[in-house]
Amino acid sequence: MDAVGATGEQAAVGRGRVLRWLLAAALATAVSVAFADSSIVVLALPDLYVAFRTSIQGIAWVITGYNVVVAVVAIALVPLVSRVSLVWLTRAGIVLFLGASIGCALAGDLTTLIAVRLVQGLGAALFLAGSLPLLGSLLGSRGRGTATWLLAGTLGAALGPALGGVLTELFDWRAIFVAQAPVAGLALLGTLGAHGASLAGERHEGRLRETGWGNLGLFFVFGALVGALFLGVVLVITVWGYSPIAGAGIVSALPAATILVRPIASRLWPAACAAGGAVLLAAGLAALALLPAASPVYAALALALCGAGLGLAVPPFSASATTERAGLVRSATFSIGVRHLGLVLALALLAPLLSHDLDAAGQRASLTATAVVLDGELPLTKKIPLALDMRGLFDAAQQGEVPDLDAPFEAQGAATDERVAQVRDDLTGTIEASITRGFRWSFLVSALLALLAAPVALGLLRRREER
Amino acid sequence: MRGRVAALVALVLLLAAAAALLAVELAKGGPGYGEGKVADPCEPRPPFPGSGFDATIQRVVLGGLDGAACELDTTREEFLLSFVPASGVEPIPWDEATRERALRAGMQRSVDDALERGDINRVEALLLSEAVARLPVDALLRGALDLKDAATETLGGEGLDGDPCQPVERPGGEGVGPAVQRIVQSALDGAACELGLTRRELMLSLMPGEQEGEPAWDPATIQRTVRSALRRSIDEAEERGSLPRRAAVILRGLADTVPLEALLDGGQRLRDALDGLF
Repeated sequence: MDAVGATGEQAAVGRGRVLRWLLAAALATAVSVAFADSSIVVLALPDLYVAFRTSIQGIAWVITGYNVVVAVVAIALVPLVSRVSLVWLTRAGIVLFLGASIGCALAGDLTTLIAVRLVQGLGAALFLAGSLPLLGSLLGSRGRGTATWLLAGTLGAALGPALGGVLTELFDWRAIFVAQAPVAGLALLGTLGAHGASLAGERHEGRLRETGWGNLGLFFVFGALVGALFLGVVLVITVWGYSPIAGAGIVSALPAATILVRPIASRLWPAACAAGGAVLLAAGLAALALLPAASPVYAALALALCGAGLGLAVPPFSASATTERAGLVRSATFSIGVRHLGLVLALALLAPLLSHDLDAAGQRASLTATAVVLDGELPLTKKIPLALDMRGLFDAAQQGEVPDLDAPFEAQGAATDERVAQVRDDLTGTIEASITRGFRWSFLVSALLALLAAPVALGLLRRREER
Repeated sequence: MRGRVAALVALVLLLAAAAALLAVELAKGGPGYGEGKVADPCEPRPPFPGSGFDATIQRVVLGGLDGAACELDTTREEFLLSFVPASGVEPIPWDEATRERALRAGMQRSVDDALERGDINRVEALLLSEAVARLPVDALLRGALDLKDAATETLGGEGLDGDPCQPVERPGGEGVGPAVQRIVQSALDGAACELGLTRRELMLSLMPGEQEGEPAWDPATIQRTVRSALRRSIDEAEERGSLPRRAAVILRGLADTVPLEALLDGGQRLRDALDGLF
């Protein structure tokens, strides 16, 4: 009888453990989504631009606004997180995030969408800050909870654009936000399973300054990621004209590599891992800057290097930035702010640089396109109407966009006349090349940010020696 | 420890792969990709390929643009786009009059070069020079199509190789100038038809040294036929009332005395002379 009772008790414990693991998975998925939200709408930007008939600057706030709020709120929360109930902080954050996700999906105009995205950022900052100890509670160990939280954050950041691209292509840009609502709902359930997880009044011996090297590394790495996650995606979709789902296929090289290098990251010395990752990330971005063709193969290889760099650099920097000594929740919250601050400042640095370079690229494209048309082996009766039609198309194209040349060339018989098709292909190629080159300095600056993280990794060595 | 070494080896391999990718990109011309270098207009470049009037016109226009751009120390493309409002390209530092003068001079040099190379004969050179000198600059820039149109207009609906015996609808126009142009065109058509020549053959035969092969008719017969056709055309125009009597009298006098080469530009010299009188 005792044996039967013991077995039943073991089964109940087992069921309880499975349930807690499921709740932890739900919470970790929501953490991933909140990190992914920094870049998830990148592939949907062209659709949003058309849907709201707005400017590039306006639409950019859908991304920037979210990241600014997460950065500011997370940093503002640092002195408060040890004094509040983290369970309620997390629940409040998830409810805000859930409501804002639905609000984003229903937004009828750009102002509403941006406003609701700001609320979503507020919710994300609150629940990201509170979710780390809750995960520890659900998984039965703070170490396991921290590792899961860090992994979810890394994968979320890497997966964002690909995930958003697939949802946009399969459904609509609104699907990106619709899909987040049930994830947030399940995460809310996850908080119910966490008991006694409030770490209010957590004790920390060290100062936040001790996490400086890790945070500085994260700042540079996330700043550099703007190159891969934002610019790389815009290049593939807007300039090269791939559909969101095809673009997601190319961009998915990044998260795939992030996952593949995990076994390496877990075995290497933190300093070597972080430095190596930073150099790989820089090399990937430099490879994007030096693309010899508008080729998805080169782009995917370069993005894979970026993903590998991200997968190697972020874990050791995160581990150094999130320590028990500095207060786990407090330091994690600060690192959330620092990561998003890196994204925001890099966006602020790179956006005007890219805009300036794309203007110059547009001028270069006009000259080379003119040369292609002048030298094109076409009779004047085809050449002149094409030249006149193209002027209108250039005027209609957005900054950094390759004009759609199919219609005028089809009208001149591109389907049956090889010479016309050849001029069209030459023209598309030369415009793509000019605009691709327009991204060069932005990628190189991103690579520089990544390289700056490499010497910072030496700081991890110093921290290790001190310990 | 073994796992750590394996991880270190993997990291080194990844770094080597990154270096290899960058090396391949450099070797494949990555640094120069999208540079968008346009050719130096002062350096000779291979002529626009192809034969026929269309290719000839394109060679003349492209050569003309090169000549003008070289003179103004810019590129052919920048020079061309400097005439296009809101093209988005940095303007070149030359006023419109200078650019127009350079364009016409460049195109004229290009016509002369084409003639010298043997790309075009003297008839075509004369027609093109006329168009280069007289067409508005925007028409020249609209792509030489207007050059072709202008030449075609002078010669009739189908240009040099059309059938001169088929009646051609010629664009109208009030005044003595357009009337004289129509008279000359009609006379050349009539003479060519009567002699069984194409317009091109007739015009070449009017230009000493330009005949291709053995002439079908002796020069005296051609002269007589053309002057006769010219007088007929003047009579018809006067009967239709499209030519004032006084102008008809003067033209008849000129028809017997003017060098026939002067008819090859569509009677422009006759038109100019009469425009001054009427």
